[in-house]
Amino acid sequence: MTGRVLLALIDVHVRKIFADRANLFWLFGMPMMFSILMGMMFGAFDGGGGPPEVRVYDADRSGASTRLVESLPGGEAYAVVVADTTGSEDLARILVADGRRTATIYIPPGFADSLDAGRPAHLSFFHDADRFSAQSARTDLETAVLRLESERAGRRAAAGDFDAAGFDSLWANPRVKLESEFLGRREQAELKLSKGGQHTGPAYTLMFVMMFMLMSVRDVVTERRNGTLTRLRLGVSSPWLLAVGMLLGPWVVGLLQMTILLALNALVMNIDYGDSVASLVLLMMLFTGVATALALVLATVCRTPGQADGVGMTASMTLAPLGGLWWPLEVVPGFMQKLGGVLPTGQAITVFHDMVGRGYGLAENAGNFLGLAAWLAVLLGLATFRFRRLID
Amino acid sequence: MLRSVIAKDLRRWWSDRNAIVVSLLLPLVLTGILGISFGGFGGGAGISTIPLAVVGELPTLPRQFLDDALRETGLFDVTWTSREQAERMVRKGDIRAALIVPDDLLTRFVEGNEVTFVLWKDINSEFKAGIVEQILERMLLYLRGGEAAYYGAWPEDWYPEQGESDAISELLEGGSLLEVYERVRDGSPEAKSAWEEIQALLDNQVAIQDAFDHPGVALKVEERGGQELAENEQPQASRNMFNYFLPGMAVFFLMFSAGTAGSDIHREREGGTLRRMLVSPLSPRQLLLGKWCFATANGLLQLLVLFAAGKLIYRLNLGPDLLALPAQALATSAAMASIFLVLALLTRNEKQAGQIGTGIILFMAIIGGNFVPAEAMPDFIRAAAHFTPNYWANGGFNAIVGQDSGLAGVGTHLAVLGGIALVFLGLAVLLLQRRQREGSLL
Repeated sequence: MTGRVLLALIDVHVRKIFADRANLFWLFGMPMMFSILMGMMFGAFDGGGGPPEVRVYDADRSGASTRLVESLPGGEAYAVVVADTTGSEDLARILVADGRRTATIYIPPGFADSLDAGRPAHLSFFHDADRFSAQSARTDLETAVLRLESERAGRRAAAGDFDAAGFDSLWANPRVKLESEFLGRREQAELKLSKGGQHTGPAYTLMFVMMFMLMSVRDVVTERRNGTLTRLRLGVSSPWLLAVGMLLGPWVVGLLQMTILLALNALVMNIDYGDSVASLVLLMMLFTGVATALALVLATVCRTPGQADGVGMTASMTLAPLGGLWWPLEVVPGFMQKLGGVLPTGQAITVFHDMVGRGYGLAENAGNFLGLAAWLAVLLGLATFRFRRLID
Repeated sequence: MLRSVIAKDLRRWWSDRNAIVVSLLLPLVLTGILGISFGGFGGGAGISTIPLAVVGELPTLPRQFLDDALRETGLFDVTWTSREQAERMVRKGDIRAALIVPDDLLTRFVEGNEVTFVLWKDINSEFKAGIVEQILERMLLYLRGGEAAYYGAWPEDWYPEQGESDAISELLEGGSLLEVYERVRDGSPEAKSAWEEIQALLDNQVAIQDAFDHPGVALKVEERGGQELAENEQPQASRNMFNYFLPGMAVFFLMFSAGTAGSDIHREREGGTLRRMLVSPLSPRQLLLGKWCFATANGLLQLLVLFAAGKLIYRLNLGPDLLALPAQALATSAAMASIFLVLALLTRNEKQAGQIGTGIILFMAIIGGNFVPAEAMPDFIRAAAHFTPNYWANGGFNAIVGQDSGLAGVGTHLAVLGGIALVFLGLAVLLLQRRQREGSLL
């Protein structure tokens, strides 16, 4: 009997959610849109437009200025485009100020003459320091300038014959080098968090699963105000049974939503979730459980649907950034990392990162799983206790 | 009459605690989270020192030298450890990176052989491990420039090839430290040759150093907004990050308020008050104008309260021009009010308006730069951003708050937002007339 009642409650909830086409958009459409657009920002797709353009105005048009520009490698970070016109320093500054370019370079007339005469040769670089492309261009320009300075210093010190070929050879193949490699599950660049939406895919899945649950709080409050919950209570043998039924319905919807979103992310952005299926399943169970229980707790606290909207929105919009769903926690100060680490959102995204990057399984993720389980136990207890009191 | 309708709506809105939480408290809280996460009021507190392990069997002096050089950057928390321990820590994420120094570093360096440092990076630390790599590469870059310059100037004085004779090596070869000392003390031919070679090397080093002391290129580096930096100088972390985040959050939550205000038409209709108001001397067009005025005034009030609270809590810069911020706030509120009024007239009920409206808001917020600047997006999204009202709203507020622009500096933004407000208000009037004709207004 109990099982049939629970199944009926779950069935009604799932049908109600999926019958509304607008819900489908919120369950799957909006999260995927966020994952893809944010993934683009992190470099998941080329986007068709290529890297940001760094515009060069070369008013000198000399061999020295051309060599300087040619030594900027560009690549994935930015594309060097030499303007047909000589431009001006003001134009270069304005393009960056107006946000039309992330960086510009202006080489004034007389650049090569100054170099030859031993006078300081002027060069201007304008950039938006918040843009990766501009920072990369700046690093490369400073390297190119250092090369020029080194060659000039060598020529000046030699005061005679200068072995230009030797200089070039040692500059291109320095004697002291730094080789770097990532240590992880697989030493592959594709697994980095900045590549292929590896962060944005799971992060926005977690955020929208939680958001959908918390924004559904209004439905429970409305049912309570309409008297639907009281009528339901009359139909079941105990208030506990109804509380469990009210929890299981959204939990199943959350699990379905998360499964489909993770699969879609894997298909669209070629995202990897690690080698431990058991960890992935446990994570999904625990996180959706925590979100469901939190939603039910809030539903018992809010008195009106408007209040439920405000509380649900506030909770989801603060738990997401604090837990590192908007950006990896490593970029925030230490105390914010610690705070993120105790929140369910922070624990869940850390498990995702560790499964993908480090290849962690159940044992290695045990700490975060225990944290999530503790949240689940506390919130479940609170939700069932308050809900039972509310309807009994 | 119209004024009392607007006043009534405003009173109703501002007496709703939930509306205040979502429209005022939430943007302030989110701004706080974002601002604190990325450096707060400035002063370099944003990024904590990066744990870095160093592995290598070096004599005390060079080890101390390397340790000091790494610590002097102020970015690293250096720990010397074993290779196995370093690998374990990097793989576990306890440290962000480990620098592996070759055990025969000194020998290789002195003999002119290639030296390769290896950097192990934590795969889940794209950002901090990347900083470690950049700093180390920068340190080696100067060595690279100096060595290439030296080689170009005196290729014949470069390190001797394998097996080639060299006075300094011959002096040091074979004997104990005491024997070397005796050779130097007694002025042996080996000591004389070595001293001549050392003198030549020192002369060259001084000449190179002197040449580097007279820079040939004056590189001017200027940040967007006018801050000029010396070559290789990094911008000071003195920017108030709240200036950067509050405008985006304020506009984002203004869109929600405008959506809710627009949906008032549905609520009035479903509650029967719209019917009652239409039997008053107010015409439907006046009623629509009243709703638009309410939404605009409400948005303006919300933005002004938010920016004033931002000034008090986050020391927000309100710009040099007293008129610029209120004008930008008014244009933004008017544009949003018009857009969401059109949406309300295109939808059948409050639920539909809410769902579609929230979808539109989130979509516009992503591409219009409320979460991340539109410039950080791919080209086609950057182009699409120009067609969103929040792009112009964010741009105007950022210009005032972030770049100290005055009224003239946001002229284009005001014009575009004003245009949007008028076009969509006109569209709303047309839609209202159509619904009246169809009899679907009530």
